Amino acid sequence: MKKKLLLYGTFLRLRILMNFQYPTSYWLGFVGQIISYGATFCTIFIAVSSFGSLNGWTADEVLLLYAFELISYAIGAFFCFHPSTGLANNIRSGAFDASLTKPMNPFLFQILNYGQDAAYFSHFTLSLCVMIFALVRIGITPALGNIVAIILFILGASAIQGGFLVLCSVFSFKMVNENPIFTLFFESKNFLKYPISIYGSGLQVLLTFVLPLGFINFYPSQCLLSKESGVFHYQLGIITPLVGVAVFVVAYLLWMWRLRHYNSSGS
Amino acid sequence: MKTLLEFVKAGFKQRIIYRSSTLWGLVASTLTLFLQIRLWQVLLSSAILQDDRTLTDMVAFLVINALLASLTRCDAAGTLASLIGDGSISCSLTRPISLKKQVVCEQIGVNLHFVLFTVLLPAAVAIVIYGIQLPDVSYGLLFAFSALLGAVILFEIQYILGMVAFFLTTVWFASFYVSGFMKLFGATAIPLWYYPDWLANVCYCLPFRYITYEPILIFLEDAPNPLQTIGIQLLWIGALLFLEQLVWRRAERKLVVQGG
Amino acid sequence: MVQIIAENLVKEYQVPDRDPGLRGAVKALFHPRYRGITAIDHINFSIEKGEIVGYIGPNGAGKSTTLKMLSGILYPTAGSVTVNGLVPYRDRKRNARQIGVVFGNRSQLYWDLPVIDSYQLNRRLYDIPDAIYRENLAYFTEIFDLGDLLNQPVRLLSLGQKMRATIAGAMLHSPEILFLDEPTIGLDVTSKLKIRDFIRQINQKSGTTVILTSHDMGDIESLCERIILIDEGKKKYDGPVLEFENTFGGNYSISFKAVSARPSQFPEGLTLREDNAPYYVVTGNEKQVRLSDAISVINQLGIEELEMKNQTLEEIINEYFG
Repeated sequence: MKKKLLLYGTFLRLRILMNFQYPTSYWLGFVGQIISYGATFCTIFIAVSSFGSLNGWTADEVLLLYAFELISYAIGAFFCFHPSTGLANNIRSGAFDASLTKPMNPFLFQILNYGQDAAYFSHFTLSLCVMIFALVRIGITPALGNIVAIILFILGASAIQGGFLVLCSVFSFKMVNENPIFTLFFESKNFLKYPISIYGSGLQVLLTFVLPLGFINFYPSQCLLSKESGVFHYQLGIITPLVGVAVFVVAYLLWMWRLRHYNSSGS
Repeated sequence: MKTLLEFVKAGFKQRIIYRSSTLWGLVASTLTLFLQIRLWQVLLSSAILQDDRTLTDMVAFLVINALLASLTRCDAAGTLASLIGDGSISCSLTRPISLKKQVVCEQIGVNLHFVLFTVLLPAAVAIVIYGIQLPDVSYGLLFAFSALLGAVILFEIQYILGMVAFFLTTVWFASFYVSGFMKLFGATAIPLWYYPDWLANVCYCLPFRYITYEPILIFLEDAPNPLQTIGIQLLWIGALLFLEQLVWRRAERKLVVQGG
Repeated sequence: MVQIIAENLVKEYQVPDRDPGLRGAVKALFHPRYRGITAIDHINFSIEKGEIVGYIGPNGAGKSTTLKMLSGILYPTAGSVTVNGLVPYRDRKRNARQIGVVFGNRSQLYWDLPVIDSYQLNRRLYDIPDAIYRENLAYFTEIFDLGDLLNQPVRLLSLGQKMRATIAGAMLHSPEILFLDEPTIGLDVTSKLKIRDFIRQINQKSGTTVILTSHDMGDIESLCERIILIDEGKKKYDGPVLEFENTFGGNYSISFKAVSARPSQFPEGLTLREDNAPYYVVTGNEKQVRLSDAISVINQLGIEELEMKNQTLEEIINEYFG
């Protein structure tokens, strides 16, 4: 156990050292990401507040919704963004083969060796601030129950975000030149800027059971706000942590399955 | 001119290879456009804000925005950074054609491909479904010219940011600034007419709204004075070109000192 | 002691087979067709502990594929491999601890960080006991001349320095077996010589078994006593380098300057290659006319200068694969 922790600590240290090799770039990036995502928050707020509400959701509530999306993305992407989006490139360059000569679970190696990108601290900081701002304005009390629920929701949602990144990367084993599934995933997340109850019920069912993106932010927010909206009961959000575990496990198993195929076919 | 066309072709051809990317890109852009339309449908149907803007206006805004955004897509910053990063900048600098023109022309090729195969179809469908009125010929021409100037403004901004790579070696963050400013000050996400007055006033002092927003107003025949818009666009281009020269001088000095 | 065994090793790749054009692309979407390509075709070999074996063949012959199967990255389609008693693909992690792998075209060090940081990671990754880590680090720092390099970011190192640092990194956990895939690719002559010297020292110090692929026959000649030659997935030769040279080589060329006018007759069995009187070049082969015999015959013609050249391994290989 102690050895595992030491190994993990070494990986983390290396990643952080790498982030701060170019401190000016790091901080310019930090500010840039805050500006970019901050602009998204602003435009969402302006749009909803100039109409008063969106399908029964106030501007503050929509801010909370998007804050859930961004904070879980910050955590999920912190671990999984580079290991997933970089996989195709690593397979082409041979770095992936080299990583398979290490005495370690290959999936875990990818996460620890390429993940943990400190650039996501900016997403995290911004979305945490917006979340607190929105929660205060909505009037949700900082009771222990609420805080525990929020943390569990965020963890579950982060696992969904990370899991989806890994799922996209499963296609990279086949499409080593360019994997368009990532574009599709990032574009699909545009659904999550606003409550999914504004879409038809078919789409809502799709985003709940087939591609459970709704559990990233819609169901957790709905649950927290006790808000009836959309085709399912607002308490569906309770299972968010379970959905998170399920998505990540499925993603992991598919990744390992594709790896075995890669081992036997070399492609 | 012929060499320039070759660069355009090269950019276009680069993208032809990735057929499945193109297909999925089409799916993604269709999805995004109709998602946005759906959002505005819901917003506009809430009766709280009585607005003379109709859904058709809004759809026109979104469609033209999508078309212009894809035509003016530009990663000059990224391109410059990778050229500088792997040292191939010196190779590009030895070609008998300016670096800037190479970058521009390749980008035009890439964008033409993108518009043709991924955005044009959903945009056309939306135009037909929602019965969007095309502007008359004179406004149409003014719109096209203004949109072109908008693209030049965006490119100049990107190019100047890209040159930061000469000083910092990495510029991965440049795209975040551009996208943030475009969204907030360029009104690419929601039209300026919904902005609170103070923020709208801030936008008036910055170049970003002249990239896609003002051309769209001309398209909607909503611009009080299109010629004035074009005039301001030209002024901004002049100012940015001047700034670019300043940065380039310093970058060149840097390049000489470090030997690339 | 036999350490690495490959028996009837076969590796087939499935590659999509598609008609050209858009129709082909659409058809492939619904009815993907595959055809098998045999990269390794029933290869057998066994390698003793402490050997340095050159594994050579033209591009695409299957060298990397074999190394990947030995390191557990690829599963064989048929046949078996064992490395030190382990089946690499079944016991990939345990196998990883007993082998060191270096892919020449790919540095496994962190580009932006000082070399020592990558070593620290290997120390934890391979769970190297402190004493052994310190001892190995000191040893490799000395023989690889890494002293000043350890604290420099990898991106600032030259290609040769990077390769030295990479090989040292792959040896920190004292593996019994070292796989080197093109370790001298792109290096200048001095760096190549250094790398060869290091490989020899590592092999001599701890009896590390080395399998080496290279396009530079200089590497092979100076390091390996034995070569395994493969082409299109089949083993063509396996044995001592000298024997290979004797069997497939033996061509030589002799250049000389004649004293008198044109010699009336050139020795039998030799071919006149260049005729710039009074300078001549003749070539022959050991199997027809022994080099010593050829020289004594030429000497009788009355000559001033004489220079002879034996065919290099490189030339033999090139000719062999023609």
